[in-house]
Amino acid sequence: MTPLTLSAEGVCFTHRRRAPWLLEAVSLALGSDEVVGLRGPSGAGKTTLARILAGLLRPQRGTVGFSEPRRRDTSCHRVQLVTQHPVHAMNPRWRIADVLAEPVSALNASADREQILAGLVDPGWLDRFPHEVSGGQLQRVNLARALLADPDFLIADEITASLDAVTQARIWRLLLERARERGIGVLVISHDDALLKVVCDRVLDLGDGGVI
Amino acid sequence: MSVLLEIRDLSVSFRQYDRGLRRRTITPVEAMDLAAAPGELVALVGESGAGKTLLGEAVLGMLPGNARVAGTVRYRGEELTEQRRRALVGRELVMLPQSVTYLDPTARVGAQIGRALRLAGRAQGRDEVVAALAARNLDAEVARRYPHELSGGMARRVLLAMALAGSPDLVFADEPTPGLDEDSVRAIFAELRAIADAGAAVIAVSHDLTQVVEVADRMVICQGGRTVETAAPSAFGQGAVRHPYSRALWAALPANGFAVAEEVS
Repeated sequence: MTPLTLSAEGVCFTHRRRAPWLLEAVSLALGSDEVVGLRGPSGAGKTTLARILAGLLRPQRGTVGFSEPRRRDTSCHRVQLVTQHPVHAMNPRWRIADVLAEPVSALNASADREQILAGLVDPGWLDRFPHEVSGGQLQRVNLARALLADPDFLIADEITASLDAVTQARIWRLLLERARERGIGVLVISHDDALLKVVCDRVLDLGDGGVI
Repeated sequence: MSVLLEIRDLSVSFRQYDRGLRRRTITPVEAMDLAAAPGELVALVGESGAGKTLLGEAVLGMLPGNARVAGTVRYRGEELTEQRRRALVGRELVMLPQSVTYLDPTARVGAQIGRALRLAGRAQGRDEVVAALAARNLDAEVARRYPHELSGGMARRVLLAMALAGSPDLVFADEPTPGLDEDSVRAIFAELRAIADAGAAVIAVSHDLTQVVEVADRMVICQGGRTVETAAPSAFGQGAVRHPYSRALWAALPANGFAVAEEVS
């Protein structure tokens, strides 16, 4: 597949009326063949920008768009967001198997789904509930679910900040491998510059509400 | 210096209903040892899911009803009984919780800090709340916000302001820094260090190995519900840690090679 681009142009956002912009005229472009880091001080609006790119928030000004129309067979959003606390992203009453069955995509209905899951999700976890696996294991489930939605882009917002270094290294290996295989562009939000340096092709800076 | 808190051979198990009425017992904490003296900052590091949080919850009596705790927990040389615990927790013994969901989503930040100050027996006026925020580099304007209007870093600093409203003798800080920028991480560890230097014992659970070795007096490394090694912070950088898991943890840091050691999984 030829790479496509996700771009944000002149995005402005504030949580409350009359308050100053949290994000002011932010623009960025992310290719589906690259892994890009996003860094910036706490409170600069990194997570808000991630939510806007993933279609969970609408910017008050500016646009988010793709260079090409949808070409994967999925009813999920083309940008999937994976966050720091997987337990908040899942229904506590669903077993892991149900969580993974949720994304409606041709990929999730095909035999290729097993290739996504291999190495990421242990079959022994499938009949457990989210609170019955460890935080690192649940983050792998969370990531697998995002991949099964067959996205063009994936945003990883501090996905390993709560995990130990060994688990962190293992998750990033698996994520980068899958992203490369399936041509998924990755935006990596992290405060860990050493991590960004190891996993990203380039790193963007989001200053205090400012332009990248 | 005498030991303030001493934990020996601690185990925590849970009885759960599996399917129907069949019950099973799981033991996430098998054998953990830890000691902390006044003035000491002890870092508890290791595997996610190794039971670091459970250790803190066992000491502070925050475990759910189906939990069984075994082993010894001594505070000021005497066993920490349920009765003593009830008198001490929240005053002498405090928890800085890991999850920002410990904030009340329906109350403004100022009101929550005010409540923490009141419970700690402090004045709780607007000036005190603003001072508590300012001590963590937060503007007075933050007092008017609700938790969902805070960034992850700001929420964490609000939790810190609430936990330290009194002057505790023992602070169990559960992952105080994930998702924070480097300066904020340094500021929070510096604050924990200052609390220890002022005479409290601080136990800090952290995955931020590079930063925590800078401030800790001792490192306790755990894996799979056990404490596998106690080491000096400098031992990591010098390659002097003995246990294979301790070595794997250091080698897996992005700056140290990002290595995935399969034999420790």
